[in-house]
Amino acid sequence: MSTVNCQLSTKQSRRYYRRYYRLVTAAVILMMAVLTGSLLLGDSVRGTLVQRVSERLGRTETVITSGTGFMNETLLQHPLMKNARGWLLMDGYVSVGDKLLPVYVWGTDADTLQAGEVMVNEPLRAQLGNQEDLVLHLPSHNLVPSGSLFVTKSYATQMRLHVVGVKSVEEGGNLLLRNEQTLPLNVFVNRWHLAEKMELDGKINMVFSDDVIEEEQLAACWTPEQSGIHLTDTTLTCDGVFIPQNIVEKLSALNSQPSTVNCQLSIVNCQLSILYLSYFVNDLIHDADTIPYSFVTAVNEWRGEPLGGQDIILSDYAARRLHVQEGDSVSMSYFITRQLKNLDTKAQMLRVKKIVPLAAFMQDSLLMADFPGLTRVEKCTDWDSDLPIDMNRVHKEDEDFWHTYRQTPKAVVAYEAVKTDWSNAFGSATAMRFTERPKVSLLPHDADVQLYHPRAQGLKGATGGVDFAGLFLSLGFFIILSSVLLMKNPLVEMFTQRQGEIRLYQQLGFKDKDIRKGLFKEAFSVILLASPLGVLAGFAYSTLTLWLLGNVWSGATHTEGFVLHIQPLTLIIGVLIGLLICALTLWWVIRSQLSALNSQPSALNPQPSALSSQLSTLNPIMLLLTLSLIVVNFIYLHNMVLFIVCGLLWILTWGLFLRHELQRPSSAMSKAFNRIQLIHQSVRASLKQHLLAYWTLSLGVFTVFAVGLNRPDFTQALQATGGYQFYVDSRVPIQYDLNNPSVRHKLSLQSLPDSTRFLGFLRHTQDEASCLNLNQVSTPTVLGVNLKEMETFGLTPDSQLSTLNCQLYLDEEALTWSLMKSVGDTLFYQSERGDSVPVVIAGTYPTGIFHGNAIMSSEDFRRLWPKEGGWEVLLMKSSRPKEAAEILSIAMNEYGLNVQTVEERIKMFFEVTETYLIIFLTLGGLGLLLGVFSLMIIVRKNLTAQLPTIRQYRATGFSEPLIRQLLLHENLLVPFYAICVGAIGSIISISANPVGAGLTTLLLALVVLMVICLLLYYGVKYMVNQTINNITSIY
Amino acid sequence: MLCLENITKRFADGQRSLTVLDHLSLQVEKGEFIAITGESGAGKTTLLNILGTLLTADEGEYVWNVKDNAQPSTLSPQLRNQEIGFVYQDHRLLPQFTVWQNILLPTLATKSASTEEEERRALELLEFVGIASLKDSPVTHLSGGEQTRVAICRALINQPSLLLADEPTGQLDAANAQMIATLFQQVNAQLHTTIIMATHSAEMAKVAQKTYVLKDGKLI
Repeated sequence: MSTVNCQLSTKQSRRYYRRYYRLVTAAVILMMAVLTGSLLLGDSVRGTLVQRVSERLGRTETVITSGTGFMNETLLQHPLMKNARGWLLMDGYVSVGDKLLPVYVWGTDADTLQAGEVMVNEPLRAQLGNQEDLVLHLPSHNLVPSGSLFVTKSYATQMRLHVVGVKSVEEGGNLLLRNEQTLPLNVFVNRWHLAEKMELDGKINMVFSDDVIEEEQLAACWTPEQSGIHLTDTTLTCDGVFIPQNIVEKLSALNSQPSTVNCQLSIVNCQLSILYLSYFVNDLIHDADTIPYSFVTAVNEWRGEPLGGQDIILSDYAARRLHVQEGDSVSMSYFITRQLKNLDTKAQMLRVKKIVPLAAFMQDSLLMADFPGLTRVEKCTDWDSDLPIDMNRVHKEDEDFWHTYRQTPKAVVAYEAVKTDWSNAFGSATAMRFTERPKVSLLPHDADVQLYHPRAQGLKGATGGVDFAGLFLSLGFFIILSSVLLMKNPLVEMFTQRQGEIRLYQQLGFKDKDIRKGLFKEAFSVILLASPLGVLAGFAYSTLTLWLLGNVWSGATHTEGFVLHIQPLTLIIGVLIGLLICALTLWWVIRSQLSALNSQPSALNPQPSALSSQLSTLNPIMLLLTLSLIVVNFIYLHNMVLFIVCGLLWILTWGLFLRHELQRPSSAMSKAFNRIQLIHQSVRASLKQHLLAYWTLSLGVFTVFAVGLNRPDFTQALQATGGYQFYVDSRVPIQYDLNNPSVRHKLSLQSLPDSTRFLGFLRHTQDEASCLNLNQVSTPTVLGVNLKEMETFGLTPDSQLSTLNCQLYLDEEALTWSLMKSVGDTLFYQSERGDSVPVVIAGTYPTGIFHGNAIMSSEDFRRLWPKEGGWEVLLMKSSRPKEAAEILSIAMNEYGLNVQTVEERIKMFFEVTETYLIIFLTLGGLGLLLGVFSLMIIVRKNLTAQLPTIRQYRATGFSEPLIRQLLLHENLLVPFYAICVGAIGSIISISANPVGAGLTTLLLALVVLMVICLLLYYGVKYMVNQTINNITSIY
Repeated sequence: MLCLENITKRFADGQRSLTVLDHLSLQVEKGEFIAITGESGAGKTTLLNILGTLLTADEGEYVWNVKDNAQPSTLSPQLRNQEIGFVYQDHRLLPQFTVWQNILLPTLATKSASTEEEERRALELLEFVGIASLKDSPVTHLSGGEQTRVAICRALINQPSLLLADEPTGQLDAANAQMIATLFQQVNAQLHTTIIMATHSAEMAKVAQKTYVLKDGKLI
């Protein structure tokens, strides 16, 4: 045949068998749509996440942060910062109705905002509704860290602001530094106004630069002054009162490390450095004389004279009031804290080494530290302090001293004697003095100033995040499988009908290979023509799914606004994979058809094989075993996996039973020949097809419903909560132990039931590693706690691992899916000192309320982030939980507490799984419907093959209703049996938590099942009627 | 027993109308064995289908004195099944069933299971046609002659008063055809069943009591 003729005959055949090729086209379109659509989805979600990085960061390439401290805005005046913006960024919250919305507060120097005005981003605007004014709650930030002892009573402040506009995405409204796809709730306020409110005039804590700035460049433009560190030729003081520990150590180290040349040189300059540490002591006592509430400063030498361990130098004023002389003993008592602000009082007996004029202390300004709330007041009674100061003990004499001398210390003590008690996470000195200006350079990270490049991190997280292509290919697996069946069945039917044609080719001398090739060419040309339509359908599929992900299924993504991103390479890969699947299916169908044609016709009355006979004897045993296993698991074990195994065993058992029953000769069923035998025998005649239909349908129904309805037992997750009933998130770190009765009294929590207990967690906020985040996570947020407390949460420390490194624990899901790591791997966290610290994953705990958080011992936590000292996460349990939660929320409303029950929190995470399972159920149900549709093609083929039988039924006197009934039974018996077995199997598999999926999902499943059954019934009925009507027309 | 008067049957062939039976008349007495011969396409099968009430004539009258004086036009499939047996050239045996089940198939048209009486009769018929040993064999395993015998048994299971046979030996060799011809004679003689057989085999027609030739739509 010439090429032209070949093409012509292919075209003619395509046209002649268009009835079949239409179905093939539909199947190809469907398969291509799901394949390319899923791949497009992957690209689009990834592309959207990448786009989010740009939206989050704008043009920002470098971020400079100042840790818990602040920087002077003068840093922005450096030429290197010409494309930089300074921010005062704080965590805050706003109340909307009964809800507390956590917000990021961005103090901006944009001209458009005046004092008292606020702009919000679009997501927050949507939450606010028509609200035009808002009250912004903020943790009190000032130069002295709130975690230190000498701060004011107020831990939070408020700002009443008027909303003047919405900052769009393009204007940087969705500014966010964390790698999350969730849109942040941002408020933008006038930076100077915010700074003024916080007493942080001229300060910023964040710089965004459009340029890529490296560490060395920052070091070149940064000066200690810009971090509030005042370094003169001979002195060092700090705006934050406490000199950062790095700097103290760096400068002190020069005294104690004479091993290197540099240090030896430095020793010359620094060997006489003096450390000052001012403190507010409770009492100076000698016999019956007491001076209450005095400033005392610790130094390591006084005017060239070292101070020994128990030495105290008293001012003449103090000596006079205490009636002491040199060599006498004086008791000094003061508050100390070990963790949080649990105050203890400690006293030391000191020996009066010297008595000096008060003027001598006044001459050295470094002896006087400037504690806010304590030093800038006119009278002692005006002291605004978090400390429990008893004003009844303050007398006129004390007020007179304060009026004249303010915070001038009344005494000086040896630094070494009090260093441990008076130091805190923010420093161990309030001033330093040198004989000469130190030659050693201070670097930005010494003052906690660090820089990073968020875009690279963001892009890495976005591109390495959840693989939606793979996810949706898995979720749409049943549709792809059904498409293959939908393509295969009409092809089989067509080639069966063309057996005569194929035989003719064989008789004409065509080789089988050539016949296969010709038929393949003809059918594949249809597939090729259908492919572009499939790609178009793929666009529609991905667009629709993206919309659903952002709206109906947003429970899985926690965001909206997904945008279609098209990668040509991905499209090509999708099309090629689709074509490959089609080609393989087509080749397999053609081969099997030709093989069937060349082989002997199969026996219409199949005899049971030996294996089948053996299996059939096992059938009652298997049924008994399955039922026993179900009962035992239901009553005692409640094991979810075992229930799934039971479901599968159920299907296997009834599948083998069906096989046995169909293989049994119908004559063995009963003596008299009856209509049941008639149906049985007809089904038996196409045993292979019916068994295939059974396995496909029963396993399909089982898989879709068992997976779609199975939920991990909620109560199991609740068991791993240590008996705590509430999970509390605080926007303001709580510096007190709420289990302490005096603290409860202080915070108006005394009405809490006595049985109320709290477990507090320190928090170092990093990436959200729960299932709520689609980005890849490298360092999850860390919670610090006493690990012994965590044993009730299922966390067991691994004693095998070396304890040299810091260790953390992660929940199983976050470890596997968000981090893609395993136990023993190492994560790298940046400590407050700027070091990258390896932290070993030492174990896991069950996924539950701490999902997405790493748990670390509080000791390790303090080694890494000593300044992050307050509780930011609390667990609470009480005998009267509702009452306790209400009291806590009201009493601590300034802290912006988000109090949620542990059930609510776990449900929040389960919602993600829930949504994915609903998607699976929906797509799986759709796949099943397609499967049923393709099954009906087989039914049609069977009915066509049964035409002689139907004619004979008619000729024999069978009435039409009876023939319809027989045909319906023959074609529906096995499919309905399979659906029933599969559905019961799936019910068995969800027995661990039968109502876990919720009523709506169960109803959805029921509707899907009903639709499948109705479609099957009416589809088969329609085809039976069509077949019978066609026969009528023959007569 | 039955009488066809001026029966005309036309079939549409595109825009043309083809008259297959043209004012055909036939009288059949109870217990007769009639052979109808004619060339291929003469209308033998059409005539048998009209006799078997599977087709209705366009013109003419079909009178049939059977039980309750039912007229062919109102004959229900069930009653037809009781009164008329069919034997086809291609046997029309159902391959998924055994010999036994194929024979008993017509008994299920009116009730859900065969009775003992019907099964006894089926056995007798099998013995009568000489294939009792093949009772439980699949019909696909039988020879052409054996299949025809099964078809005859099936046609006779309801003890019909009329047996219509359309080229029953058309696919058989001479020896088998002769055997089947004899069998028809025995059925007619021993069971007193009226037989109308369409054939174009002269040898086969010889066994009938009367032979008609169908030509130009008329019986000669």
